[in-house]
Parts: sequence; structure tokens; C-alpha cells
Amino acid sequence: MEPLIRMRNLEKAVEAGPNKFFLLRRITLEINRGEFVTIMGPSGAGKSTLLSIIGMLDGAWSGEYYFLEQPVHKLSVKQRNELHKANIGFVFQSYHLIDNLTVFENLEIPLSYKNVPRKERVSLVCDSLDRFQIVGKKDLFPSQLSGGQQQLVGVARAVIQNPKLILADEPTGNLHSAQGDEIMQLFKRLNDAGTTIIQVTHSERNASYSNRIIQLKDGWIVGEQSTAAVQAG
Amino acid sequence: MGGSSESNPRRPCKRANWSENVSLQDLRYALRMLARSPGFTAIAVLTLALGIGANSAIFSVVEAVLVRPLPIRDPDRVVVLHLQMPKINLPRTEISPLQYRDYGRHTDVFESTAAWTGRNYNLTGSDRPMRLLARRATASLFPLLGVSPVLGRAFTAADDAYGNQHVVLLSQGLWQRMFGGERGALGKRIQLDGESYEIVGVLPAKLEALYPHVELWVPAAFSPRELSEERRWSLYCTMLARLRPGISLAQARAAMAADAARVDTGGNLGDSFGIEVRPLTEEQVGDVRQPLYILLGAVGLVLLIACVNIANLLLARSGARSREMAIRAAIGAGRRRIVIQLLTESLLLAVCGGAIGLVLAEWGMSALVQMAPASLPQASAIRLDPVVLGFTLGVSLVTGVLFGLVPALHAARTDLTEALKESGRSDTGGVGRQGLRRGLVISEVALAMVLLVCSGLLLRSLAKLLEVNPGFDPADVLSMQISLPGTKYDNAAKVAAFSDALLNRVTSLPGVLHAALANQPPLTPGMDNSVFFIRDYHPGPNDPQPHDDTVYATPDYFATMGIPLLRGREYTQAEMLTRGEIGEGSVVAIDEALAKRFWGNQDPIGKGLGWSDQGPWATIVGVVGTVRSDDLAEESKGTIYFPYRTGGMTLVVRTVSDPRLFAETLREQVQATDPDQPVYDIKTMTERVQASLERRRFAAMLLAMFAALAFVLALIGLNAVVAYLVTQRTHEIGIRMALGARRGDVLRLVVSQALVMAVSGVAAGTVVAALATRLLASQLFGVHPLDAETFLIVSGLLIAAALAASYLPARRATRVDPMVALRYE
Repeated sequence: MEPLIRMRNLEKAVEAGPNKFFLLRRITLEINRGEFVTIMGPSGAGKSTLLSIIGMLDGAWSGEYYFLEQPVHKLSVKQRNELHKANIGFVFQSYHLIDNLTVFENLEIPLSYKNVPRKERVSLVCDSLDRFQIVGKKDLFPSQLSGGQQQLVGVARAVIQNPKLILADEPTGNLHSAQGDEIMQLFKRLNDAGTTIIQVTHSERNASYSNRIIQLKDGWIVGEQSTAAVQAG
Repeated sequence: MGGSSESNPRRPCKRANWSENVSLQDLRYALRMLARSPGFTAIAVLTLALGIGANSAIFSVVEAVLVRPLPIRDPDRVVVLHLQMPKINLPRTEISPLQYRDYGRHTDVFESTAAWTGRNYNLTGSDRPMRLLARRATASLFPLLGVSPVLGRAFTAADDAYGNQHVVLLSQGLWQRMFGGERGALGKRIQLDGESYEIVGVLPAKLEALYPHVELWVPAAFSPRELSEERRWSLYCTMLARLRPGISLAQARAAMAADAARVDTGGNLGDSFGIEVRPLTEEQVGDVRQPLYILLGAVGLVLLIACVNIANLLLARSGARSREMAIRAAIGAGRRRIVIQLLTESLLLAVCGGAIGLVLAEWGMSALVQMAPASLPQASAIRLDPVVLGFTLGVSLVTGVLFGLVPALHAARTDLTEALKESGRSDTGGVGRQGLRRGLVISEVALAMVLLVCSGLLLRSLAKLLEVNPGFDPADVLSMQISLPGTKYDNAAKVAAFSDALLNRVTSLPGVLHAALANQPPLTPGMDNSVFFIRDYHPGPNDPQPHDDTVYATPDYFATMGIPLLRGREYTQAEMLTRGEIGEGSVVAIDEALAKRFWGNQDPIGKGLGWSDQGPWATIVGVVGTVRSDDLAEESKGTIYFPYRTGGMTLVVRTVSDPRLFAETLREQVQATDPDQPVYDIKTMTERVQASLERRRFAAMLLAMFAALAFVLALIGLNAVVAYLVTQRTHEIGIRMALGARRGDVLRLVVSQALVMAVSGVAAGTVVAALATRLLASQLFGVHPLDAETFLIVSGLLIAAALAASYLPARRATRVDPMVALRYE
């Protein structure tokens, strides 16, 4: 299968005075299109940092990173932003909806950043509202929604631009288990439909929805195995 | 919550008022953001409204006075001609009718020429005689200006012939006042100085912008005597010319320079004689250009301070909004889009500020017009027109970008990973942002320092001027002007009879201590002056010909005005000249300035002065104190007092109590002496002293207002930043207090931050102010542009105020509960 992401010897460090602290060390990995990958590890292992780098929110690292065979490490900030904008959707633990925008507007805003024409934007948002069955919430602000509803909007926002990759950082961390399951089932259906998904989680239960688990510790990849193997083992 | 729909049917999803495009979307979000922060929005909009409103108000004056073309045809081609005789202290004078006729022959450079002279008329025939400000104008004036009457006709060449001049054109204002704007006024006759004039037309209101307060125009119709060779140097005409198309100002100047070189001046003027060709626009506004530009600069600084203040507020907000910006970036917003979104908010603030500022400008402009000195040209044309509206819009947009760009660029550089961390902690402002905010406050203090120093210097100048001894005692003296018509008072004996009769009546009034008549009171524009000769004194080839201010006054003038006699004696009633000429036995008094100039420490009593180097000579009988006749800021060149009564006279009366209470009684005495004789320009001498300072006072007052505004804005900015820094350091303060810091220690910690900013701002402001005050030098009196006292007072004031402004947040810091603060994280 064609790789979506290839990383070779990727490292991220921060300097504090004379010392240099590595957040990620010699990360080498490959993620194919259509995979559902979970990144796990203890706190401070570098999971979220790796996710930010994959999502091109963080450009300060060394090594090689290819996304759709494009060398991200050689791209300018603008080119990286374009690549990110065209292909990646984010889902956050704290939902990170924009407080001052309605549900409709929260869904619409990534489309406007992609310069999607107005009519098409409206049509896509309406589709999305339908698809996630939140038409009735479209004029509400995030503060008027429950956590589960907010995360649903967060997923809808990530999906609306039809990304090739969805990055989810503890997507159910703030939800109770029933709501969490529904979100994970939603991810599963999206993955089944062809979207690549990478999630960071502490939850074994959530990890079980994925195909592969990458274990991080102290910035190093310390293990990698398929979910089937984990379940079998 | 539900799963996704696999069928994904497209159902209509109605969305009312959906924005047409992304810009509108940004605008809508911006509106919502501002509505959600009403406190911030109100402060920002009000600050901007004050800044923009003040700018628009001052710009409306600048636009009307300096920018807007004069309301005449091709104003750039209209010039005014002056004589220049610097050797006799006349750098720029009017010309004589004969010279007007001569210079008008330059048809090679001038398409047409015209002239006017000032003339007042007594309008009689109504209940109370009125004094009307008029102009005698050649028939060519209105065609030259490209101005046509709105009713009737202009003057014809036939009207302008001597003897035919009994026609009159009314100003729009007088037409409305006298005839209620009725067309029937045409053809009616009015009595001016006792003679009948036919109304032939009404001039447009726009002419009043060029010639304010002029109510009547009559033909110049110069008499043969006025055009005679012996009156060649009677300089009272203003000559205008329209340059031929293609002729430059330089060419016209060259032509007139050649003409001046040919003038035979009898050797008195020598080669320093010149003919100045000056654009009419320059003539109108030359004197006010610099003060107006200084005010515009000052008000621009106020706006800059307002911008810095709001930029600071936005920086604080952008810290709080960093999470939102990070989310926007994470879902695909490029840096440009984030900057545009934030700039849209800034521009919206600025436009709201501009809209309210326009209302403030309208009020401010009305106040400005009310306060403006009467000498401000085109004051009647000051209004909010499309140019001012365009300026306001432009300033609003530039302002929006100015204060919005730095915070927007900062917001767009947010560290996404940090901002999106799950702690959800809002951005606390890195060292760079705090440094920027401090830098902005320092620049605010510096700008306020510049304005305060400039304003302080102008106010001190004004105070120094008010301390200047004018050379007379203005208290309890009332003055009023009387202009006897030449037709009725056609010889000196009649003038003398009127004058003596009037003084007899006035001096017999209870409460009147002294009364006198003089041609002109001090500190009124356009004092009479003349060249004179001193017996047995021959100036060297490079020495200026003696030249002085000339006062024609009755003997009691010195006692009335409180001008002290220093040497000799005052002249007496018996020594009054019966004609306006010096003859055998004539006497004069001179002032101390003239005495020192020509006689040094010698006694001038008994020396002779005359208007010709051949005599006859008038004997100096007294030396009186020097009076500042033109301007309190100017030393007197010297004054000669002649014992003579002129037809145009000022009655001055010293009274025992408030002189204004005598105004009506004195008017009645004038009317009792001649029922057709109006009085006008009734003012106490104290009012005249004040009026002579009105232009300086106007500029000083406005600058002081702007400086005060800048001062307050700078303090608000400083207070906000100190408060912000206190919030940022709550945790640190908590730790310090937990470790044993006392309240005084915390107070010092916070106040010292403000002190550092204030001192830095004062230091930077001192350097800028030292440069800026050079521009003010010409507007100052008795104060050096680098006056140490002013700089020190302003510095102390700013530092003290900064400490006061930081006290409240500092006190709040001392009340931090260490336990609460340490749980803050």
C-alpha cells in the first residue's frame, strides 16, 4: 500500500540554558493510506509532540518527513500550511471549537480558509450537519452544547473538508464512556470509508479500534504492533 | 448524538443573512467579537473617537484655510502686488493709485489688473446710523476674480469714472439684513456718508470667504488728485493681477523687478526698493500656515498615542485569544487569514471610532470657529465637506491598520503546540510581547512629553506676553471708533469743531476722568506710519531713513491712556495743528524709543522733526513712555505724537469705574454732537490688549487641550500595562509574599516598573521634544525653545503622574493572597 507518511530519524529538542532536552529521538516510521494508528505511551513520552509534527503545526525539528511523498522537511512554512490545509483534519481532547462562532460557523470556517466558494460551503456544511445529525444545533454556540456534542462538532469540522488524514489527540479524554464509544465508532466508519486516522490515547479500549499501535517512551519509539496481535496476546 | 448517515441526502439547510464572501464573514465575526467585549470596545472606540475627532476638526480648519482653493476662477493665477522698502522698515506695503495705473501697463505678463482700498461708510436714513465696512474697487476686480453678482450687475467702466461712483454692490449678508433677500432691493437708493447711492447688484456669499465682514462695495473711481504725481507715495491700494496663461510667477516677478529698478525714489529708498508679486493664496494664509501645521502635527501625535494605547489593549487581548488563533491555524487558517481577521476587527473599531469622531469633530469645529481669532482667513468656509469626510475615513483606516497590525502579526506568530495544550491555559505573554507592551507605553509617554513641552512653552510665552508692560494703563479705559465722512467734514475746521464739542461733552460727564481723541488706539492692526526727517541729521548711505508710527492725538491723550511723561512737557490745546501740516511753531511729542534711537543719552527736547528734509520743522516738547503699538511681542520702532485731529478717530475715555458702563452714554454724546454719526468697535483697552493676543491664545489653548488629552491617554496606557503586568506576576508575587515580602516590598516592585517606563519615556521624549520645539521658535516670546524650567516641570509632572497611575494596580498587588496565588496555576 502507498505510504501516506514516512519519517526517518526525526528528532525534536528544546534548549533550556546550556542543556538540550530531546522530546523525540530518531523517530522512523511509516503509515500507509487507510490505516488507523494509535500512538500510546506514558505522559511526557512525546505523543502530542509527534502528532503536532505529523499535523505540520510544529516546524522546529530535524530529520526527514515525507507526506504523500512530499518532503515536508524541505518545504517552506507556506507550502507546509498548504499541504496541511489540503489534507489534514484535527480533533482535540478539549474540542477546541471557537467559542464565538455558532456550530454552523465552526463547520464552515475551515472551508472558508480553503477558499471554497460560498454556495459550496453552505452545501457542504448542510451535508455535514445532516450527516452528524446536528442540524438542530447549527445556530448554537459551543457553550450551549454538551461535551459529547461539542466533540461531535469537532469531528464534523475535521471531516468536512474531506481530509486524507485525521489526527485525534485524546479525542474522548473529556467524554464519558458512552459518548467516547460513539466517537470511536464514528472514527471507525470514517476509516472504513478510506480516511487515515492517527490517534493519541491512553485508553486501551480506544486503541482497540485501530489497526496498529505505536508505543512511545521518553521520545523514543519503543514498540510497534498490530492491534490484532495485541488482542491475541 | 448519532452516527453518520451513509446515504448522505442533501437536505435544504436554510441559513438567513449568510455572508456573501469571506470578507463579509470576517466582518461579521469581528462585529460579534466587539459586541462580546463591550468594555474593551467602548474604551477603544471612545479613545479613537477623541483622536480622530480632534484630527478631523483641525483638518477641517486646515482644509478650509490652506487646502481648499479660493472661491474664485483659477486662483493660482491671481497675484497681489506690494512695495518692498526694507530700508525704512516697510518690508511689504500697499501701493498708490498712481502706481496701480503704472503697473497695470504690464499687459505682457498680466491679463488684467484691479485694485481696492478700504473704506468705511456711515449708513444713515434708518433709526440708528450704522457703520459699514466697505471697499472701493475698480470695475475690473470682479471680472478678474471671476465673480459675478447673484443679482443685478457688477460695476462698469462708466461707474468707475470719477464723479459717477454713486452705485453700490451689497454683500449677501447686508442684502439679507437690510432687505430680507428681496429682489426689489435692486434700484433702491441708500444714504452713505450723507450721499445717495443706487444699489445695482448683490454679490455672492462665497466672496465673504475672501473678504470677510465686507458689506459694501463702491467703485474706486480714483480722483485726479489721487492719481496725481504728488500722491505717488500715498500707499493705500491693494493691487491684484491675473497672470496671462503660460506666464509664471517668476516671469511676473522678473518683469516687476525690472520696473522697480527704473523707479526714481529720490535716493531715499535706493536699491532696496522692490515690487513683490505674491500669490493671492499666500497673501491670504501665509501668516497662519505654520501655526495650523503645528496644530495638525500636535493632533496627529494625539492620535498616535491613541493608536499606541489601543495597540496595547489589543496585545493584551491577543494574548487571551491565542488559543482561538491557534485553533484557526490548526484548522487551516494561514497567517495571512489570521492577520486579515484581526485587522478587520481593528478596522471596524477604527471606523466606529471615526464615525463617532465625526460627530465630535462637528462639535469641535463649531467650537473652533467660535474661538478662532477674527483674523483667521476663510473661517466662514470651515465645514465638514466631502474632503474632510474622506480625510476622516482615510485616517480611520490608516489608524485601524496602525494599531491593529502589530498585535495581529504577534497573534499570527502564536506557538500552536503550546497554545493547543490541553491545560487550555491562555497565553500569558512571552518576554517579547511584554517588552513590546512596555516599549509602546514608553513611546506614549515620550509623545505626551513632546506635546506637553510644546504646550508648556506656548503657555509660558503667553504668560510672558501678559506680563509685558504695554506702555499704557489699559484699566478703566473705554475706546470707540468714529469716522467722520469726508463729504460732510470736508475741512480741518469742521473736524476740529466736532472733536472739541464732543470732548467738551464727554469730559463734563460725571465719572469721566480724562477723554481724548486719537487716530488709532494702540494694538489695533495697521497703525499709521511714515518716513520723517530730523533737522541736521543726515543718515549714512546704508542707514535706514527715519521711519515711525504716527499718532495724531489731542493733548489729554497721555493722561487718558496712562502714558507717562518722561521729559519736557505735554503739548497743549493751544498748540493743536489747525491743518494736517507742520508749520511755524508746531510742536510734537515723541516716545522714549525714538528718543533713544536718534539721540541716545542726549536730550531731544527742542530738536526739530519734519516730513521734508527742507523743513518746516516741528519742535519736540516732550518725551513720553514707549507704547507697544502693533503687538505686545514687538518692541516699538518709535512713535511721534502730533497735536492734530483726523476725520477717522478713536475716542478714548478714562473712567472712575467699569468703563463698559459708560458705552451707551458715550454713544449718546456722539449722537448729540452729530445725530448722523455712528460709533463702532466699542471696546475697553483691556479687551484690545486681550484681542491682540487672541491668535497666540487660540494656538496655545488648543495645544494645551491636545497635550492634556495626550497626557491622560498616556497615563491610561501606563495604568493598563502596569495592571496587566501585576496580573502576570500574581504567582510570583504570591511566592514572594509566602517567602516573607512585606506590602511595601511588593508596592516598590510594581511601582518601580512604572517608574522605569516613565523615566525611559521622559528621556526619549526629551530628545524628541528638543528637536520639535525648534519648529515652535517663531511662535515663542521670551522663552527659549529648550527652556530648562519647562522641560523639568513636564518631566516631573509625567513621572509623578505615572507613579500615581501605577499606584492602584500596585495596591492591588499588595492584596494578593499567597495561598490563592499559589493555587493559580
